[in-house]
Amino acid sequence: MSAEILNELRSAIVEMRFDDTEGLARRALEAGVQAVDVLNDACLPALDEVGVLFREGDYFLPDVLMSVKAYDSAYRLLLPGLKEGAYESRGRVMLGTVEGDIHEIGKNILHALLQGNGFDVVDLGVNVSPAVFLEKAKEHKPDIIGMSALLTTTMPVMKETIELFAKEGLKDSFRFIVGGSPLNQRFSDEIGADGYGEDAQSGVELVRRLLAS
Amino acid sequence: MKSNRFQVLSDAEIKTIQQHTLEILETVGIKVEVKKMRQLLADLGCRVDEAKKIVYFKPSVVESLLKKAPREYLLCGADPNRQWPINPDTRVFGGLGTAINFYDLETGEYRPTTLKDQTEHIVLFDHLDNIVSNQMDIWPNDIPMQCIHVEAIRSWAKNCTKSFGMGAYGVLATKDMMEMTSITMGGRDKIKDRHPFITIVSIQSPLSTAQIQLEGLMILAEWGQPALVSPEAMAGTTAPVTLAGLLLQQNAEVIAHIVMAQAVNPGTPVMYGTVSTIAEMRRGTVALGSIETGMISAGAAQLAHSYGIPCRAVAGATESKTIDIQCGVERFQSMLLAALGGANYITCVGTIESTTAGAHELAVIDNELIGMVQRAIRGVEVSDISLAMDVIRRVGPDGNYLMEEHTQRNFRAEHFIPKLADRDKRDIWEKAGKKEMLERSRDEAKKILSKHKERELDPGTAKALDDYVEMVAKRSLDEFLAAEWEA
Repeated sequence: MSAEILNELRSAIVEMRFDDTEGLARRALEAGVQAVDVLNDACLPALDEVGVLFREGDYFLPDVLMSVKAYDSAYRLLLPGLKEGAYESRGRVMLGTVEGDIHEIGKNILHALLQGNGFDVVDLGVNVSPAVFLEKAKEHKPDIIGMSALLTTTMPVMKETIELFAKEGLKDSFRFIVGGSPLNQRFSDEIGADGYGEDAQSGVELVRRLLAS
Repeated sequence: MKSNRFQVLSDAEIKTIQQHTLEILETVGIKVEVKKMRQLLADLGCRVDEAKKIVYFKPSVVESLLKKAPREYLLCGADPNRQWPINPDTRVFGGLGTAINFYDLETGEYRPTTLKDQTEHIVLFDHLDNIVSNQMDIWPNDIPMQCIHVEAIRSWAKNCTKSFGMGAYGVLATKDMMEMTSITMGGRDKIKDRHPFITIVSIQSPLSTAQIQLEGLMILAEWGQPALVSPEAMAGTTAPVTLAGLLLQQNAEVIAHIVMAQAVNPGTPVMYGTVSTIAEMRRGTVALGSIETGMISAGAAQLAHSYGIPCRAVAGATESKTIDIQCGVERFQSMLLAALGGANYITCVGTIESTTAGAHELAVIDNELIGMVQRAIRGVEVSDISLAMDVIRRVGPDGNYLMEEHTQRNFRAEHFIPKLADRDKRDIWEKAGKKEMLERSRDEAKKILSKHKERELDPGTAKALDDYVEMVAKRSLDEFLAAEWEA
């Protein structure tokens, strides 16, 4: 019975049926499944399946985003139970578009894809100053800090942010990744970032790689 | 609404061409190279000059027989459940040409075409979504000439679920084509109402017939199978240099052939065909890749539809010898113009060098180009859902639509999603090996060929096809010649 519900929940996430997932997660809990098991046995395998469909070209961004939305409805319901149980997230990533820049489509896609890959995401939004990055990093203790910029004029803020962390002696407490249309690997290396992603999907792979190392 | 058609003739101009056509057919006439066809037309009341073999078509005969040509009929595949209606509103895309040379898929070498190329070409067609029909585009050099048609049909039966066709090359070959198609489909009655095999009947311009093609047309009519009567007139050599003059002469030629098919068997499915273009005026050769080809196709489609007959047009042809920019530009512009012009069966896949050479990469690329063309002619659908008023309201200023359900629900139908065109950023493209479209299409062709499995034919059918091929292989070329009817 509970196996059937978990299987149905997994399908619902893959098939983007976001109206069904919360109900299915609730039914699983009511059937006596622990929140952490619902997550590990249905939700995360579903997201992995979506990831495969995306890499193979069958799923496009809107499909992934809808699957993540379906996942998120279940995840929100499970969250209180997860906090009580022995749940370990795959990693925490903090994201923000740097000060002076309000472009966030790329960052939002990365946010959803990271969520879709089972990472916890703290999104600081747009126009985030180096000081805010620092303050929020102390508060949320992310494994990785991701900065985004679309404008060449705001790219230097990435460098300033990393320098501020260095000044505080916190540069090595976090890993920094950068992304955005005008950037490239060389710029990332020059400012001392730990990695650069060409697009959202590469960003996810980068996060996986950094957390595995 | 659907996209506007590309039109090159006004209604009044079409009427004028129709009237002049009747006059040409009656007073200039058409040279008819088969004696029993001349006899048939004489019996219907047409004047015949037997010494010159010219038939002067009586307008009333033309008008009454033209009405017998069906407006619509059904194509099917070797798998009869795959069906495509053909009428003046549909658009179906197929293969083209007589590639006697080929760019080798593995080595890139330019060399004579082989039977293996032909089979692989048929396999590709089976898998390429936007292509419905193969027109025996590949001409192998490594088997005896008298076997090419039967080998091709056997290969089609074994490897392809879609439609097939080829040219009408005289009495024996056309009968072979009909017999083998009938074997493949499980009997002559199985091809009565839906037609897996579409034959192209070439017309000799100006105002003549090619004997073997006309014989083929008569056999097709007896079998009730579709005949695509198509001149390849060239403005400046085999037709007047003016496009209007070419369209007029071609109209007379095509109408005469349609009338002859209906005279043999009223109701024979036909298409009004055009492979016409301009002549290259420095050398007198053909210029299929010219912009005028698409204009002529559009004019031909208008004329065909004025008689309520579906139109076949050539497209995707180029004079380029390599897969270069000329090749890409010429193939795409003629596809787009033929489709926007309203042609219903567009033969356009897989060739270069005025259709005499080919490459598997091109079939894969053309499949993608056709997808783009199909998107363009579908136009913009306007409905409450597509106008997205509520979504616009919800997203508002500075928002974005990527995460909207409306986007996910509609993007696949609204956007043409290319398989071969690269839209990645430079870094990603570089990491993936800096591949150009041609390399990606080569990879795709290889992928399709490697995963293909032959169809499971009924053992009786497979044996009957093998026996037929064996029988034809024993024939000499002289037997083909001896079987032709009196000219």
